[in-house]
Order: sequence, then C-alpha cells, then structure tokens
Amino acid sequence: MSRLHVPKTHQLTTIARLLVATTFLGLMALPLPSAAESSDTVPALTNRSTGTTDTEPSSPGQGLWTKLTSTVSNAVGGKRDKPQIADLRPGSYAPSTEALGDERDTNEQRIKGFGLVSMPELANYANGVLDKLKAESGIKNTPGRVLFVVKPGLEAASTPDGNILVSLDWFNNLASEDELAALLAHELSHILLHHHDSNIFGKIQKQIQTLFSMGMQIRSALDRATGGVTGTTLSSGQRDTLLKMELYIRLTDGALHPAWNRRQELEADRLAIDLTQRARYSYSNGVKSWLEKVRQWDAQQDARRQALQVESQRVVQELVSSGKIDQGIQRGLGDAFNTVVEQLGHTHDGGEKRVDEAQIYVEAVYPDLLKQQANATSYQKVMAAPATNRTLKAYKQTFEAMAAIESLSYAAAAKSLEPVVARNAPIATHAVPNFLMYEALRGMKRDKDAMVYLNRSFDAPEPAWKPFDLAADYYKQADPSKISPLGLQALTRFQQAPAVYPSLVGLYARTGQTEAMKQMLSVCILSHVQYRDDCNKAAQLK
Amino acid sequence: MKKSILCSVVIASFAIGGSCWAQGSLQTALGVSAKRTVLKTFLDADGQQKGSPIEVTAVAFPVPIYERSSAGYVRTKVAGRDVWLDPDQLVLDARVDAKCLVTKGQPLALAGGLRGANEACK
Repeated sequence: MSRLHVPKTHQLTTIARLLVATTFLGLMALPLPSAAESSDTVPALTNRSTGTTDTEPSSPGQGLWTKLTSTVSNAVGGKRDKPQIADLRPGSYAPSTEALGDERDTNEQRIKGFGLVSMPELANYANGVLDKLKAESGIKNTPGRVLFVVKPGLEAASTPDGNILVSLDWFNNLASEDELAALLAHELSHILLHHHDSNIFGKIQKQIQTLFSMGMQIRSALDRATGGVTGTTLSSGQRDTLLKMELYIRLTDGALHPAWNRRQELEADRLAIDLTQRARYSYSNGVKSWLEKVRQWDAQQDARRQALQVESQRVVQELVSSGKIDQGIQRGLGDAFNTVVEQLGHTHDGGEKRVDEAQIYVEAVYPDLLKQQANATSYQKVMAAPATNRTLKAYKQTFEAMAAIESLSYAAAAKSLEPVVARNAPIATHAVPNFLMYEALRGMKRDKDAMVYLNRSFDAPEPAWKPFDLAADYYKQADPSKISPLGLQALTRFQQAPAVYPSLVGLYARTGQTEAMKQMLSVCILSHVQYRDDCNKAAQLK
Repeated sequence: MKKSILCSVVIASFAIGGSCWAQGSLQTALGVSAKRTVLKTFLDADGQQKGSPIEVTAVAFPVPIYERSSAGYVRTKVAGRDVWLDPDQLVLDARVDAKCLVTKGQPLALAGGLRGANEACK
C-alpha cells in the first residue's frame, strides 16, 4: 500500500499547529492558580506573621509543580537496545527549518558573549576530527564548522546552521583527541538529529500570543472609535486570556522545553557514542571521560548557585529584620519562583546521570566494547603549537582581567592586560582585551588613554558587540546625537543577524533613545520572536 | 597528613564540586556507574584473568585509583587487597580548570534556541 509522502518541514509545521491548537484549547480550560495556590508552590516564603522563612513547601500547593515535574520526568529517559544512529536516514543532509544562512549564523555568534576568535591551526585540526565524525554518520553534505567562542567557563553549543561553538576553556580541559571527538560528536548529533527544528514550537506560541494581543488592541481601539467600549485598552476577559497564554508560555519555556531538551541531550549523547565508536575513538577515554568532566563542571555550577541562593536568603532575612518586610517578601518570592523554574528548567541532566545513561547504553548496544588507548599525542601537539598556545594563554590572562574589572580592581586589570595588548602580542588586535583595557583605564580616570583601546576594539579583525555598548555609553555623555548612527552601524556590521535586536534595544534603552528603542523593539517582537523575551527585558534597561 | 586535612576542609566547604585527590593516587572513584550492584574484578592489568566479583556495598567510596594500565584497567584497593577494575564500571573524579569568572554575556545554549553540551554559566 502506498503512503502519502509529506515533506519533513510540512510534517513538522502540521505537528506544531496541532500541538499549539491542542495545548491552547487545554489552556483555556485550565483555571489560573489562585493566589493561595500560587504562593504554596514556591519553596521558600517569608512568613508575614513571624518573619521566619519556611524552606519546605506546604503540601496542598505542590500540585501544579509536582504534576509538572512528574510529566517532565516521564518525558525524559527511556532505555534503548539498538544504536541511536539507526534513526538517521542515510542521504543528503536536509537543512534545518531554523537555519539562518552561514554568514548570518556566524554574525549571530559574534554578537553573543564576547565574539569569536580565529585560531587557524586548531580550527584545521578540530574540523578534521569533525569531518571524520560526519563521514561516519552516513549523511552527506552536513554543513558547519567549529567556531571558537571568547568566553570563560566550559560551554559548547551547536547552531541550526550546523556550526559548533566551543568556549576556549574547553581546550585547556580536554586531554586527547578522543575527548575532543566526544564533545564535537555530541554537538554534531544535535545537528544530525534536527533537534533545532523543535524551536518552532516555542516560536509559534509566542507569535500567537503577540498576534492575539495586537488583534485585541486593534479591536479595542475600533470599539472606542465607534463608541463601543470606552476606557481600557483590553477588556478583563481579554487580559485574562493573555495572562493564561503568558503563564503557559512561561511554563513551556521554563520547564517543558528544557525537559524536551534533556531528552534531546540523551539522544545526542547516544549518537555521539555511535559516531565515536565508528570513528574508532576510545569510549573510556573519550565520551566517558568527557562526560565526567561535564559532571564535575555541573557540580561546580550547582555549588555556585547554592551559594548565591544562601546569600539571597541572607539578604531577605536582613530586610525582614530591619523592618523592610515588603521588600523582603518581594525579593524572597522572586528568588523562590526563579529557583523553581530553574530547577525544572535545567536543559541538561546532571553529569552523573548522563555518565550512568551513557554506560547503560554502551552495555546494551556495545556489549563487546574493546578498551582503546586515547590519542593524546596529536591533541597535545596541536595545543603546543606556538600560535595556538600563546592565544589560549593570552585569553586566560584576559579572563582574569575581566574578573578584576567586575570586582572594580581596575589597576590590577590594566596591569594584567598590558602584555596582552602590547605591540606584536598574539591577541593585541583582538576586540576583547582592548575593550577591557578601555574599561580598566576609564575606571582609573585615564579617559584620554582609554580611547585608543576603544578604537582598537572597533577595528578588531573579529568584531564583537561590546565596543558598541561602550561607545554608546561614552556618547551618552559626550554627544548623544551619535548614538543613533552608531546603532545603524551595528546593524550593518552584523548584517542584521537576529541577535542584534535585543542588544540594540538594550543599547538604545540604556542611553535614553526611547523612540529608536521602541522601533527596534517592535521589529524584534514581530520578526524575531525567539528573542521576544530578551528584547522586552532589554527594553527595561536603564 | 596536612594535605588530607586540607582535602577534608575543601570537601566540607564546597560540599559538591570540590575536587580532592587522595595522596599518591591518580584519580578517585566516586561510585559505580549504571547503578550496578556488583563489580567485576581482574587479577591482571590486561583484564585477562577474572577475579571474584565484589559487592558494591563492600566498597567504601570514594576510593583512590593508584594505577592505570596500558590496557585501560585501573588498580585500587578493596578491603586491603589490590584489585584491577574496568573503569567503565566506575564514576571517576575529573579535574576541571575553569570558572564562571564573569556574569556578563549570555550562555551560548540559552540564547536563540541553540543546543549545548552542558549547563552553562548563569
């Protein structure tokens, strides 16, 4: 019997429509949590009468979150005894529905964080490993290359265009080509499994909400003009609907999508094992030892978050004891809500669980796995190449200066940056050390000396966003008429990559360019809905 | 001795995340992987001769790893005697030299629906 062939993108759109319609109808039937229920659902509330802090949620109110967490855990996990790679359909790679185009995608990454850095020798090596993994996938013409991201900490990501972003610190922490292959294979797996295509669900929800809100406002305006309704912009029923939509979007963004992402992470770990096995890399000294590093990093992040939470609780207690009770409650509630969303919103399972899941998968799918030595020699040789080695060391020093600036130790930062920006130093022309030097010297009230470095950061071979922010702050005092042209320059420089919009909304908001800010905000909300929340947040900047 | 005291202090201070290595050991086994209840042991460094299996409950984790053979097996001590284990049965401690130094910038995988490899700095 012949089957109707529906192109993949159409299938996806149909599924997305069905999902949105179903959830939207379900949402309309969902009563909003009452004030009492809402307050019961947060784990740490300040007791108004006693001023004490309850750390455990009271039982009746746990309902919504408990159900949600249970749904989330059921959606994640699942055993598997056949290789994940069997899910890939051999043939040519079908581009992601979310792809921007390579140049725009690269610009997108330049805007985020502190930009990209070029390291040709390391790039050749990493792309060689990536090509080997791509060849083992059985999928032809998979796009993308490895990009190095200027960012402290261990971060890696893949884009819908197939590019793989790796933070510089990862390279100081990998021990062998096998571990590098594990990291790249995990990111490549997201690309091969088309995980980015699922972003469409969140985007459609936000688009519906935006259009509903706009439609209702137009209707209200017409009502007012024709004498139908006077007074408010939206009726209470309309506001209630919007509120329900907003709540639903917050829940899906904060909890259900991350759960879905966790499932995707599990699939990516499994496919990474398949790809690295086919490419003859070691499992014990590859995927497993890389996941153990992820476990260690995640544990560090958890400890850091816990410390921040303790600090936050201390502030709440202080506010309460000094009689500023309302502020205390507000802060406590905010933190508690954020904690709950954060707990549900982890996009990745803890490293320990991932080590376990990977091992269970290996024992089921590769019962006769042979022990292999890792290829540490090639990796160490590339890392020891003078240009790569000096660049990585210089950035390590740059990140230390960055931390010094954050703690307002400007003189220490400037001292640390001096050799980094000195003539002929490996990253002397790069944007990050130069704008940091500008910030350090400005902090030391050496404005005239500082300007040289701001100009150098603008002329950097790899552009970054931060110099635009710093220049706008400077012009706010010196010549506000230059801020608008600066914004347009940024749009051109980054070729209107979507990530430019939240950054530009923030730049205009902070510098008091209200009209320009509103214009960018509406373009962002209508055309780049994935950044809607970031743009709205940026619009509040002062 | 001093190092051990320092290790205890570090572990106590950081609860999770603090990485502490036993004196003279290469690495530390923190526990078992895949929720196994029994560990297979080997009498030689190549994993050729099987030894008697050990109940996981008999092992007081964390345990130091003293040696890693060229064949990839690891040597530790259980109840005072040397045993060789397949490291895949274990969760091993890892050294990570990186910090979330700054709060500026956006986590890569949070912005624009990218997919990441691990949780980012937040």
